[in-house]
Amino acid sequence: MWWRDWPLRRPDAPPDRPTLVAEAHEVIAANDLARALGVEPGMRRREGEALCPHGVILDRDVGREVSTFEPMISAIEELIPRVEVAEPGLLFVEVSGALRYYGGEDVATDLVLKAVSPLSGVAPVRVGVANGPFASRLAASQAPPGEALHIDDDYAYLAQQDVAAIGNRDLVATFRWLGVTTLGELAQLPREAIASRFGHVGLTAHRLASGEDRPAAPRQVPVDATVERVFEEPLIMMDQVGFAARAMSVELIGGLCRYGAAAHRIEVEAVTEDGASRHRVWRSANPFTEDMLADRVWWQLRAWVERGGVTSGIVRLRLSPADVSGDGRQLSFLEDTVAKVEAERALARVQALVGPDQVLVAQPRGGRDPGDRVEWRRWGEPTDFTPSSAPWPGATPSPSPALVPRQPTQIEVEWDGGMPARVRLRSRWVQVVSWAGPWRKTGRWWKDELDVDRYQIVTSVGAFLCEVKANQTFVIGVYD
Amino acid sequence: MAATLVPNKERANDEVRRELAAQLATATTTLPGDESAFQVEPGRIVGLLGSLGSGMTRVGLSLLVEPSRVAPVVVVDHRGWFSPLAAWEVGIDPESLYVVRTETSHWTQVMATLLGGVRAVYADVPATVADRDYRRLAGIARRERTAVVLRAEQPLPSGIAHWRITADDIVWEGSDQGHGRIGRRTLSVTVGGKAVAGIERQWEVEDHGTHPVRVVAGLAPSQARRAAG
Repeated sequence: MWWRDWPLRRPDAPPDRPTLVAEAHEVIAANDLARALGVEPGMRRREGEALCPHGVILDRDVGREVSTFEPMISAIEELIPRVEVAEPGLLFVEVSGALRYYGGEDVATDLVLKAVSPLSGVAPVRVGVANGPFASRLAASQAPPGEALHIDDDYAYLAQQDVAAIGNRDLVATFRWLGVTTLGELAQLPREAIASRFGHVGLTAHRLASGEDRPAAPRQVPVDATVERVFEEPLIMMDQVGFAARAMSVELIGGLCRYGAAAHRIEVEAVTEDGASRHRVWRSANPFTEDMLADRVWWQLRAWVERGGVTSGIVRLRLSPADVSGDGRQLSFLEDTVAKVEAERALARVQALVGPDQVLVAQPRGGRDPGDRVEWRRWGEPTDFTPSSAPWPGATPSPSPALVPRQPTQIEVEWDGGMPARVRLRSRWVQVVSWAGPWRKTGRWWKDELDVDRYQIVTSVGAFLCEVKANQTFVIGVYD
Repeated sequence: MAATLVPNKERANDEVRRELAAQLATATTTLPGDESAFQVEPGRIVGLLGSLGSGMTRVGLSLLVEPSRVAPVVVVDHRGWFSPLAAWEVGIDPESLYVVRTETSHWTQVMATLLGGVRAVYADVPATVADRDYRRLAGIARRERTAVVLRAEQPLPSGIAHWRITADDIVWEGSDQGHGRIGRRTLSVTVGGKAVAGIERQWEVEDHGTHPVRVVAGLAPSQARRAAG
């Protein structure tokens, strides 16, 4: 079941002006006025702003969306108990039991539509009924507003769909370039050839095109990875719940990682002080990560609290993985998974202590100076950076300095006929034993940089990489 | 032939010690300590002593190469000067190396947190760290079986069982009076502590930049290996 543009259902979204909601520089929802100007979900935020410069741009608030979505879920749960939430505005319902109970698809879907229509407002629900989540999601997107589209044969239905339905833009572009335009044409290609050429993403796309939502043999985890916390003092602050949820998420995902497994569905269960129990299943096409799971638990608890589902302190919280697959990270032969998980937990705690900008990972890149040849990024942030092994003319040769000041540090050097003779280190002068250079580095004139001469200066106590500009000497590296 | 020592309960300790010292002084073959002195094992603490520019950072990084092959290793940098280029050159994979920059005031807390979860840590020690903090961190490292390489300008306080590597001299080759460029270096160090049964020994570390690092113990060179020290 899919409600189009659910993120726009918020009080600060004006209905009479072009409005779009963005998240991470991407447009995720746009109203009809914005769409009339050419804005489409999935495009870059900059493009959206350019197409409707006088429109309203809103940042996404998923917690609020989940909270406003909660009444829909509750209404459906009154009729069919097994509801799985993928995101606000999209949920899946397992209807095999309900069909027997209500006597058929038409009767069941009519009941559900009648239950949610009064709550849906201006954007009615669209329902797709199919054997798998992928086909049903696609059918829901094509169903008329307020009605259901029933798919009898998933394979035949998917075969007619455009290849863009698999979602991966780069992969779709490659398939189109190869002449594959529909999911049916993709499904007819040999799976071995797809796997060989495109790897895991290609294999997943081929499975989806063939009507297989998940690998046929789900991964068996030898232990129960359920994580449960009982709180003697009931949790009454949302911050407390948030911290608990994050810690439990780390424990659950870490436990699964030990077996190279990953969860696609998670059941969240909360028991309150007055004995009431609430539970909800969240689904994700991609395996849950720790952050994804912690966010969803937090959103769900917030929605329950704001919508009256939880009226007193929480005494028990439980996260249970379901639909576990082998889509966990592929390990190298020697890698110690447990050590990796434990290290990441320690780094997460350190990150909380020193701040996100202080826990870093680095990748090599091209550059002339040692400082330029390192690409720093925060630990935990995704990156599509590809290290380059191409030669870089003008780069200082190896060995590289082990210490590089963030800013060039000025030192006193005594020159004798253009040759370094003595260097002042702290309060004493030390003799230069040998030196190499100068190597001229031409400055970037468009940044007002001066040309500099670089020297390697070896003293009796250490070696330094220095640069001389405007008759001043700076240390840019210490060979330590 | 590897020299081995079998403790004899009937002999006095000083007699055993004299015999060991004689063996070490005349050793022409690999001794038990040689193989392991430049490897960090779980729970081992290594103290690197030397001023800035003495070359001990690369020695310390080369100690992390073996642990980095199986698990992430972390460098704690309170100056903000650490450059991973040297770490990559000695053989640490970029994906296995994490760098934590911290204020001096948080250094002890950061170290205590890391020692509880990371298998190997290299840390530049601020001068303000108190002896009791050293001892507490050493206790955590032993309990959690974390290898720790501490780069300090002062010796580690007494009471901490650790391996001490002190920089004595460094000779750079390749550069001249304006010609060539820095290439090979030879670092003379003194290794003390339990690595050599409490008796200090002189070692030489040959570093060719991106080439394998070679450790020469006394007169008996051990087999060259990648980034061993």
